[in-house]
Amino acid sequence: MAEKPTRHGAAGAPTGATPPVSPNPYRVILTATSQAAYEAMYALSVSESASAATKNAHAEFRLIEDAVQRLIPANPADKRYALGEPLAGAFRMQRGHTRICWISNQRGRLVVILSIVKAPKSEADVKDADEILSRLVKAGFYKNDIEEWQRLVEPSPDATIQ
Amino acid sequence: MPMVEDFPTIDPSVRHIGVSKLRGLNADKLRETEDTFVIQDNDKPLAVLLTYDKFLAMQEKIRSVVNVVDLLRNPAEVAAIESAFADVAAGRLKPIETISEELKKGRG
Repeated sequence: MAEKPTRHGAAGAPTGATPPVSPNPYRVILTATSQAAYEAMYALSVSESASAATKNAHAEFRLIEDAVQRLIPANPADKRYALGEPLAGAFRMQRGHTRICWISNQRGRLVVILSIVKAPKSEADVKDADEILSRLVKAGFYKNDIEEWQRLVEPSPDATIQ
Repeated sequence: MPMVEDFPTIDPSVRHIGVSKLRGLNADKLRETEDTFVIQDNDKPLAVLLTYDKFLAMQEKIRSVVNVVDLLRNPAEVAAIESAFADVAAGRLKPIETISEELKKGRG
């Protein structure tokens, strides 16, 4: 599956032109958290049921698969998807009802998919502004995590990508 | 202690000009200037003229902030991000090729 990236998204949904193949492509790695979400979406998409929900799940998984395997590694530092503080350095894309968050390292040619999460179904599931502010207070926490990861994946001068 | 917002700020790159001065802004001058112009008529601000790059930078900044607020409003996504950083720190990472291969095998 990885050798042949998919180009198709949801039925009838345009997914854009195939980006040029880079001679030094990014490696895509999933965290255990995003892996669990990815696998759960896959399991739903291959369900034997012919219900509308299954068809939607199939289309949604194709969108995510396309984003993770093709769109994001083609340009992982695309400014259109950049997050601000406290998550500056991370990126986030909306695909259907799903949000994908990742970090990348240009020199290490690595993309780490942090999370794959469904958007809240209703306003009742959304946190209010006070909660947002309390999250913002934790700004240093996220920032340090991203900077630490960037430092760890910086290749040594004589390192080569396998 | 006063907040930063309590101090008046002056941005010397912002220039207030009358509408009539617009005629003097040709392509060469616009290319050279980094200034932002507040176009006024009888001291009443009517429009703002800024470089294309500045506009794009502002647009990116706004988009990045809106994107963060949208993320922070979703408790499930915040929890996932925190869990993901713990995964990164603990080395709980797997290449997409391996995951795809495992899914394919599991299905077969």
